[in-house]
Amino acid sequence: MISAALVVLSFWLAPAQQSAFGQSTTPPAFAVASPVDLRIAAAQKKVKAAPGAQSYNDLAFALCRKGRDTGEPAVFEQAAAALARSAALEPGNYESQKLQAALYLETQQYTKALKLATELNRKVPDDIVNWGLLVDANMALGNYAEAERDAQWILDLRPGSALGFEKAAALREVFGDFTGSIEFYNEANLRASPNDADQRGWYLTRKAQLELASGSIRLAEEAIKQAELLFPDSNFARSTLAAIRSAEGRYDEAASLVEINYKKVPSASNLYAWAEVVEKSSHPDGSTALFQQFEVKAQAERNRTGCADINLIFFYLNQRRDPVKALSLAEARSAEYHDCATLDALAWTLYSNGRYSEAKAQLDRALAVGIRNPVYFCHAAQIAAKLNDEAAAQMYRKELADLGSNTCPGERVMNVSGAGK
Amino acid sequence: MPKYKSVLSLIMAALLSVPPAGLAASHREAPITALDHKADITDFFAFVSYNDPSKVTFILDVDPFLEPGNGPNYFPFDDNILYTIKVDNDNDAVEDITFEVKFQTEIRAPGVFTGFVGAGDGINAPANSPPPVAPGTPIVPPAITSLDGPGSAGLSLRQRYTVTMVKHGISTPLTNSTGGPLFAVPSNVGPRTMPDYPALAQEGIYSLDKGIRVFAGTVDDPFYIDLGAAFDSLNFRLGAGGGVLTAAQDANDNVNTAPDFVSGYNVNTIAIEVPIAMLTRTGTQVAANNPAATIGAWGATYRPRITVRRAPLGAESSGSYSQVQRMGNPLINELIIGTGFKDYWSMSQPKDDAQFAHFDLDPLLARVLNAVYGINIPTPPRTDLLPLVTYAPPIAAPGTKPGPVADLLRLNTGVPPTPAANRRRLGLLAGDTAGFPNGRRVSDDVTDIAARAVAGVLSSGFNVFPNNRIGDGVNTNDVPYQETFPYVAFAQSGRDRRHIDPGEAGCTMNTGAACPIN
Repeated sequence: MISAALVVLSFWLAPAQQSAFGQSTTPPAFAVASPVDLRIAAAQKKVKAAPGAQSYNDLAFALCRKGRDTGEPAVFEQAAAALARSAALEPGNYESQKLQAALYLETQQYTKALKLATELNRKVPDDIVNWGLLVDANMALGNYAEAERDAQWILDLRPGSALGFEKAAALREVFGDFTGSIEFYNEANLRASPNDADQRGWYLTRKAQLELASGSIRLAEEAIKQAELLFPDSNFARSTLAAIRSAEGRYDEAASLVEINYKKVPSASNLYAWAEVVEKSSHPDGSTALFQQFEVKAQAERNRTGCADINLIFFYLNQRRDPVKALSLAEARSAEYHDCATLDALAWTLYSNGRYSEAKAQLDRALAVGIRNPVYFCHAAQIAAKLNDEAAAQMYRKELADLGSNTCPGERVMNVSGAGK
Repeated sequence: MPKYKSVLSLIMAALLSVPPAGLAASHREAPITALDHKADITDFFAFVSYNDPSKVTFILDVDPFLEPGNGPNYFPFDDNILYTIKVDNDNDAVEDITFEVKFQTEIRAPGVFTGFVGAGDGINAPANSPPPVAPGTPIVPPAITSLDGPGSAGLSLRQRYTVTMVKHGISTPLTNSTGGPLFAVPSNVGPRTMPDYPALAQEGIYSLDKGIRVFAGTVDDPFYIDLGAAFDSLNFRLGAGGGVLTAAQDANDNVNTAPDFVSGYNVNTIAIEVPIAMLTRTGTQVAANNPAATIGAWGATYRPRITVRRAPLGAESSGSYSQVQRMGNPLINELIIGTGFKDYWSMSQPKDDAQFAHFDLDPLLARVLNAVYGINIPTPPRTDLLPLVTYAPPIAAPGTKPGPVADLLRLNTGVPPTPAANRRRLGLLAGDTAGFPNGRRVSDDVTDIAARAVAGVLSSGFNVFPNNRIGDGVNTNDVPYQETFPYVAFAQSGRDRRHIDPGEAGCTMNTGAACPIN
């Protein structure tokens, strides 16, 4: 723990290479390997010593855990290769099939993930990992009632399991219960193995996100610091810290943090996050080039997955100012997914194309789940105002204010009465 | 930070919460009842009462293998569990009547180191008692001779319970006819602490409203089986025919030729005796050939449920109950349902049992018997086993609506009890119409009956040797049952209990020849 704390401190203070914002972008030489890297190293050693199906499964798992943190496509490709090796050694082996379902989820192939998880659940209904895969796939697709049913099965089958608390925590957030979600992430963290540092780090990062969503910046910072002690150099924790800095208006620091993530993993989503925060920083002009690069990367990913990232949709709306293109992407995405983020994207692109009633209908579907998201409330308020429903607009502005925000993210300051400044 | 990313991160991150060892462990994890003994139903019985054929006795046994000497707390029921007995009387496999039992523990002497203590008229501090305890100060209370009042001072750990009947959605508390509380009978600690245990246990038989009687407490486990041999991949003892009894062994219901692994152990029981007229859909007791005579019954245990959503008021994270286990017929979950399905089965409802039909229609156990013993077995689908999971003859009257495939213990309440002298351990297979699978009595040898049924004896052409002599060699319990409510033997003594092990003398009720080892 002490050495990890030193790593965190030195990471922020060491001169090394500098970003445009004066922050180090290179981990210090004596940095401790992260728990995910340690796990990968151990798994690779095991594969060398005993190259059986389970060894490759363990390696795939270790790689997926790293990919969960970084989002690196190359890591997922390595995981897929390990699983292929496992399946070759022991065709149809059950553990590799579960990991395959997990990998589908990681690579946003949600429909495939749901199909495989359903088959696995039929094979072994007592395996709560399968129920967990079902929860995740159903949530990703927007099947929240099914996800809740599946999460309840985990809580019933294995009361007190970390997995059950974790899935229920995720659903509580979607249902708008931040306090209840934090409660369950705390429970999950208590029940996680003490040796599973990156998992506990992940729970604490989620808790930090929820505290931030509730407007508790101090508690969010406390949680993220605990997460970083357990899982140094976590991309996920770093992006959450960037969000905290943004919430504090410290955009330059936020941009430095997100830049580090992008330099480590040059993905479209990291690039978009960087571009967004640079746009708010003291050097906003830098965002133009970043957004241009984002468009190229995001289109390439869309070609690979067949589905537009939400960020790409909003890029066309906000940066390209091409609402028609944005709407076509949103409609294509909503043909397969109906999760809250997709519904909001669809609603906002409909709004941007002047189709206000349709926009309301879509956003109503998302808000009916119970989700409390300032972006959605902001959108809902503006849609209501366009439909001359001032009472509804006022209600949504109040919801926004209750979340500690009177500003639509990325938009001008809006006071509760609705008049822009 | 864009909210979109948090949702995606949420999904990506949520998948891999279980470390590799955990991935493997959760696939091979023990079923929940191996982890939750208190909610584990060991047996469920339902039969027309021996000494009152206008009533049915239900017995729900939970919490297996209670070692009688295991003080200082012995075996309380779990206050958090809701114990239930359910009855379906209109053939839809959904309960029409439920009896709910809930316990509450009290510690009456919190400074005493054991749950039960007592001797004679009590023992006071002797003359050489060092200060500050003066000579003559009561130290050991009198022996426990009562559940309440005088003679109960040594009963430090005591449990009260309530019984509620739920019918047509209306809950009715059933109260003691004397107005007093209902106490659970503790385990039999031993002759010094509880010098007249049977009398103490008898106090625990209560008459409630509406002609209902109830008993709850620790009793002798009425089940008997050579468990070690059975689960050693059917490695039955040669002394018991190696799994196929001789004609003489099979004909003698009173002699064991293999050790009863449950001998000397206690179990927690809830027994309730209910007028048949309260159970049938007609509200009367009807003849056996009336479709309304047959009811389906099962037991289930529940724990408070942790819920995904918080309750709207009070922000509680638990609400209502989650079913932990259920049992209708004996040995279904143990011998028929696959390990990867046992908990899911336990937590499912009987009316949905069609989803497990593939286990019933081609039981793996039958194929194991075929492989190990070389016996012929019927070709699947095993429709001969349907009377065990539907309302059908020979248990239900012809013309009875079969209902869905469901694991219920079906009892024809129109069939009178068999007198003790004529009672056969093989129940219906031996022509004893009041025996399993027509309900289940404590003395029914369900191990042999179930094994033979799975081997095909209910199917034409398969009720032949050796299928109809499959058995484990344990034909009777280690202690006699009672002929009156609650019908099970009272608890074995903690001080003096004996487990009858392979190779030991007294294989049958602690008398007679030794149990074989091989």
